[in-house]
Amino acid sequence: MIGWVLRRTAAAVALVVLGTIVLVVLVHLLPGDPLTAIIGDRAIDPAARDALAARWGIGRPLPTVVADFLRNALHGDLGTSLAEQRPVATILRERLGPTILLGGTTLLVNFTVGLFLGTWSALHPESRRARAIGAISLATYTIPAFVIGLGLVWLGAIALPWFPAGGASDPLLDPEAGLVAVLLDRAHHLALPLLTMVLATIAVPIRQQRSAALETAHAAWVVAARARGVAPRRVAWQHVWRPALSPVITLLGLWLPMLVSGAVFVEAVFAWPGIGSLLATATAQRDIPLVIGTGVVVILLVQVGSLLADILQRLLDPVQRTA
Amino acid sequence: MTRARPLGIALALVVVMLAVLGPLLTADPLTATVDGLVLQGPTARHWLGTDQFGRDVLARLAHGARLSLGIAGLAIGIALVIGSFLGLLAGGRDGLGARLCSRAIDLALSLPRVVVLLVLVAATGTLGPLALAAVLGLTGWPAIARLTRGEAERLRHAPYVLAARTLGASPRRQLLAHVLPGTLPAALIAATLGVADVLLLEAGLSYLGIGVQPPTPTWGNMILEAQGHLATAPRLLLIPALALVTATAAATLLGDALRARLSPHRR
Repeated sequence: MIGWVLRRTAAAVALVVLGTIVLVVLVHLLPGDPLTAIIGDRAIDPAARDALAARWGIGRPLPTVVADFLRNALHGDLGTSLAEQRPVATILRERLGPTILLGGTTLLVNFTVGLFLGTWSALHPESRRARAIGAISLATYTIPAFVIGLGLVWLGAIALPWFPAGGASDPLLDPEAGLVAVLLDRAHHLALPLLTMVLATIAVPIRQQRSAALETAHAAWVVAARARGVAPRRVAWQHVWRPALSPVITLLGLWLPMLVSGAVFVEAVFAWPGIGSLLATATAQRDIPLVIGTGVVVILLVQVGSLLADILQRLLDPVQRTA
Repeated sequence: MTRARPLGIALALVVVMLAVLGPLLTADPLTATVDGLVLQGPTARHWLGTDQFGRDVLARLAHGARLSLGIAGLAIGIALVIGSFLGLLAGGRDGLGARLCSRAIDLALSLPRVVVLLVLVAATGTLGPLALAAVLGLTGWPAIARLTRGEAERLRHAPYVLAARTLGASPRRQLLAHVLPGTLPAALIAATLGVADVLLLEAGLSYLGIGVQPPTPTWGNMILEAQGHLATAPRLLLIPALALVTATAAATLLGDALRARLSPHRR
């Protein structure tokens, strides 16, 4: 088990490093260099231009640029943002919290509500309610996340003005306010983005859990449990649900990129101060160091998530645990 | 799934008709209408009303359809060619080249598409429709390559390929004439389903203001422009959103129908 974890971790590290290299190489191979992006149409002193060129590694051989970027990144230095003139790493640290809050709560709801609805619809496959669950989750899955977000802004902030339309906290909140007031404010701001993310992604866990549970519902041990008179509820949640969980956890690794791509658009709709909206604004401003830095962090998050999912799945599966 | 195919075809026809015929029948999408009324509800003259500049919404929707579908089609074509080629190289033979190809596909699969897309856009600047299609295609091939690789690995030991080899077919001929056709159904299914992703990404990029630039209409930047008028004219959001969902649903249903049709052994 330990050997396997080490090998799997090494593979994840390799993917992060290679992914970083791909991003840096792509930026430098494409037409339109970062310098043009910084300078724009402004007239500039040739000496200043050369200084900038030296700073951004323009005209240097690509391998040197890549090696320097990797070496600096290892020391936590991802460069300096062009638009904000601050270290990329500092900006990212400020943005990480809100993204983890939104992504984490989305995962939590997907894992509880989504898996419950999936198992429930597998146990009552013919019922009208199960069909409604399938149809509604598929419909919200087809609608792009940012459109769901805008729809919810209209519904929850304009037609029924109960929730704030954007931001993660109220800037006018009394700084002396107690913990309860702060938490309520955060929850109030989280409600619409969270609902958007959940509606946009929950179809995946529901459908996966449903098909996994449908398969185990006819397994020999389920029939045996039923035959010896185990209560239906116990059969459902002990004999069907647990074995059906394993493939769903495997696929957890695949949901993470989806959470990221959803987050880019959803955070942009709600001006949520996270990594996703940062990536969107940095791209619009052509702030290339910030875009690359954010990209590297996203790749890292995705790999860490999929590594954890793989380990969790091994731990939960008795056959693989001993292997 | 028996009802999925007619529904998918019907939805696809509606969207394609809108894209092909709509622009011929409607007004100029870039200029204000003759009567010049802004944010006007649906009337006999303007079936879907007018937007904040007094432009006909139906005209913008139809021209947007042409652009959005054109970009999606081109992007998927690019993804299909690259994905099939690399998948065939990775799965169709042994050796160092094939293994490297295979690792490259795995690496590309591990990179979140939206991140790569935004890095490409940031590096090249604001993209025209053609460049946007190219970028969407260049980030769309890994899923197709993975499927093609799997099919090629399965097929290259199939009896009919063995027979071709016995008859003296060159390795290249075995791959191109015998393995490639067998991998195409899976690739086509993935491509059809991929149209939905490309439509959503293109709309998303335009919504972020980094796709096709206004005043040229696409469904995505219509949604972006509607955002400022959500309180007074939610219709401006609803109409392009509905078009987008219709198109993606059509692509998904057609992909599912194609899968049922082309690969009965997987059902």
